[in-house]
Amino acid sequence: MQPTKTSWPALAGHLLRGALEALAGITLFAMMLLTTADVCGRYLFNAPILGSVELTQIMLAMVVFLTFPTVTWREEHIAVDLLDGLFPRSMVWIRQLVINLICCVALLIMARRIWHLAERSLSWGDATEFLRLPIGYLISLMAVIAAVSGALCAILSVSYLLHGLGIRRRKGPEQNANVL
Amino acid sequence: MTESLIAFVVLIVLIFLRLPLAFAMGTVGFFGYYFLTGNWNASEAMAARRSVDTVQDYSLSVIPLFVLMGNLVSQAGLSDAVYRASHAFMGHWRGGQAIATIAACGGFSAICGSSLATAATMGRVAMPQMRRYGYSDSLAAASIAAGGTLGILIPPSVMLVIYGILTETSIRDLFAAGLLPGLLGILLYMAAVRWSVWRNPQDASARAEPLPWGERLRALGKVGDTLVLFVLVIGGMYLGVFTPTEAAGIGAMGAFLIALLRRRLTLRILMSVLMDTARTTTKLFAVVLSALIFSNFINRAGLPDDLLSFVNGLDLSPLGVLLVILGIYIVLGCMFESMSMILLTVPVFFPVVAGLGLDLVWFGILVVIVTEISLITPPVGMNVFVLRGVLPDVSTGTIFRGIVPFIAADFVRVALVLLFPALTLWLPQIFY
Amino acid sequence: KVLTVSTWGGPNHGINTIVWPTWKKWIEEATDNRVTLEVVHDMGPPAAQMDLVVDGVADVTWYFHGYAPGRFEATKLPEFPTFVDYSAEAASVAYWRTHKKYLEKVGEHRGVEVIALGVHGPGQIFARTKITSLADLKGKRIRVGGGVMSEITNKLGVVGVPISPTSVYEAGSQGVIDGAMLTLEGLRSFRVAEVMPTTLTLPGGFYRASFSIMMNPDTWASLPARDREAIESVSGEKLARLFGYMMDVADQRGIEFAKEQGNTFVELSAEDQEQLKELTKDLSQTWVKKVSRRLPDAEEALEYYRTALAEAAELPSIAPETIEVRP
Ligand code: NA
Ligand code: NA
Repeated sequence: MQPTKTSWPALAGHLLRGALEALAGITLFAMMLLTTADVCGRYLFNAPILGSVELTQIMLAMVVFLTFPTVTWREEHIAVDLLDGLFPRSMVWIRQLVINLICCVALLIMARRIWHLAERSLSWGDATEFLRLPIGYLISLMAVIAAVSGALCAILSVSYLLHGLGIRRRKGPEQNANVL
Repeated sequence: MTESLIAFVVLIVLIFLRLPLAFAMGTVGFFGYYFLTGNWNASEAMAARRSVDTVQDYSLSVIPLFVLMGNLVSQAGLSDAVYRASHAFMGHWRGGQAIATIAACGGFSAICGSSLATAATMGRVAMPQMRRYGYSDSLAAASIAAGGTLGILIPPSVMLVIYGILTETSIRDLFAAGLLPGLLGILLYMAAVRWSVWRNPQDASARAEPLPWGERLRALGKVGDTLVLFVLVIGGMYLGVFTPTEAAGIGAMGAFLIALLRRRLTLRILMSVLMDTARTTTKLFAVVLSALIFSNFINRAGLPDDLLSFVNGLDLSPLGVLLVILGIYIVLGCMFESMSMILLTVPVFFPVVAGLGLDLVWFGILVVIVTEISLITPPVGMNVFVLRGVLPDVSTGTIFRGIVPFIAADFVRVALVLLFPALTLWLPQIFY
Repeated sequence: KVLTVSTWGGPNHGINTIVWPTWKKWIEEATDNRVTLEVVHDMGPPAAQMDLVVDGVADVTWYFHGYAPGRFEATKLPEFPTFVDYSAEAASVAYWRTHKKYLEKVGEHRGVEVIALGVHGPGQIFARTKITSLADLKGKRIRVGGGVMSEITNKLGVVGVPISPTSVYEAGSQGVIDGAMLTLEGLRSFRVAEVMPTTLTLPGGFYRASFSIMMNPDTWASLPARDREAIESVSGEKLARLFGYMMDVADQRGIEFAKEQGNTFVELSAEDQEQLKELTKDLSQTWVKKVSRRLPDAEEALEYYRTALAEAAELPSIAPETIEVRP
């Protein structure tokens, strides 16, 4: 069965991506406001914002991780394309299949281990210095997102496989000028 | 040494097979570590820990914030005005806009302590402009990638602070010593641009006639906003209002306000700028953290110590030793991310250099210059990859092709700093 | 058997020039060279060091408890101001003894084998301008690292600015901060003496910080019993003493370096000391309450620590047994 453009998985994926990216964008904007407010508070009123450094750290991690699934799904990770001209076009799907499989395995291994780190951090009671935010939840979020990204890589692999075997017409889940 | 060499080869193969850089370095680092220690658990933990820690590194927060500033600056039309002005003045010179880009990178280096952030920001600001004025992608991207390396030598500089703390050298002297070689770098890069356009005139367009002064001044009048932003950031830093790390957030805020005042922002545009910045950030962090995983492995493989015994095994004059060390940096620089190169090698080599009675400030500046070269040498040139991240439609090959003259310019600079130590040591002497 | 020691701090830091080389020599002698150390730099950021040992990435490391607030609360015991001078060497010995008697059972070091503890030298206040009294400090922006430091700045009406020690130089050179709370060692190692010419001192310091040296439990268990015994004989209190001695030496060098630069040292006046004592007297009591769930006899432990401190101060220094290896 071929999913069409309006199929529910496509729609759900679209919404999820939009939500994650918007959240990352808003977090980035908040980072900017926080630094400004902290500097102004400190310089003008001798009242820096408590925990501004640790909040910045947390927001930085969120910006990076919330956007990770999108970048992975769109295969936008930085790659060297020096040999693209020499690579036989008919083999591209095999190459992308293997690459996505490697990424999938790497991400799933990382997800499992990061989850482990998160659990340990929570059991140790690790918290930030000033605001006492339990950092373990942030690390669990990272683990979940790494797992999601790994799953996306698996889907990409399958879709390259289907394309390669001639079962699906489209080359990847997205028209990716970057790769194909 | 053998393990490291094998790893380098495998890494190059994977990179050329188009495995994303982040996954290539991460995977080689991970398996290499497992191979060395025989402990799967430890390898996983090492890689996971690096990932979790790197994305929470406060000092790296300058990357998204400066990239955001660059995007907002473009959105507000500030870069239009600046490049129109530089075109008005230098449009009749072939390569004028690329020279202006080098100068702009130098200026930006004065507010930014990180080369990656400099390249990422300038990529967004300068690239569309240079394209508009008919510059080839190759020359345009190469000027930005090279110009971006100036970020670490012209103070503020994260790298010089790290070097100062590692070697207990005066950071004040290092900052002063970096100034002239930094300016020299700007001049030599400009010369590299001239050379590039002399060799390939089609890379850069030029207007036939110089513009009358009235028009030039009119164009200059429009760069006021940009000056305000620059003065705000550099002034605030030197008056002690904020730290170089915080400068990124303040700069982004300033650019945001200017864009708002110029009515260039709708909520929709703002969101797309923010999400685009977030994507760029993610791509860059993925590469940085896996570069750290890879260098963890190289460190564990004992490469720094092997290199030290190699240097000690050669029976050379002090200058010869210094040359060999710099050569090692240039070779390592082909594979390493700059910060890990400094962290791994400086503790190993500086005792040798100090033992030879050479000046550690001078050595520090030389190390930073060769580290700058590492940012643009293939196959792992971080600034080139940063531009890839910022400009997905420009291929790596295109950038590396344009970059050769700039690498040559850097070698000239190393030679000059080596031959004339006064270039580095004169300013610290008269300042303090 | 080669134990991998993950270290941090610059190659010139005393941990790398004194503690590891000396301890390595002791271990080799005690085990007839059956066990030795391999010191590796930059295996991970300082804050991740304990994780590295728990996961077996490294066998041994040294750890600053302040990196894991929440995980370590009972370890704050030696951090409060005492208003009397004492060496880091004595403090580390007293701290180790208190650990064995009281703190060990709290189990904050889950996942690692604690082989020594340590306390650094007196944390003092460095300033860009001439600061000689508590009144001068009011409203100034001073770098803090959290913990006891933040509590003291709050009491003094000082604006605490949390930044890392490695950023103190840049923040101080342009005046983002007016001063910094750091150890005297920082004058040299973090180049603070170059930007902050005045040091305001309090006998015993405004604060101290606590560290541990830890080993992976599987590594520990994998050693034959006689080697474990041999290593124990040169660890524990003896290693704690070595750690403290190193901190004293580092502080001394920081002071010398600052004096070469023409910096001044001002001791807080007797009245100011009284005032500070009054302001900070509830700090340790707040801590006692805070850790009462984990450590019901916190009050007693604190008392024991102070007595042990007086005893340890009488012991001869470890100096003759140490070596120093410059990079
Ligand atoms: Na800079
Ligand atoms: Na390179």
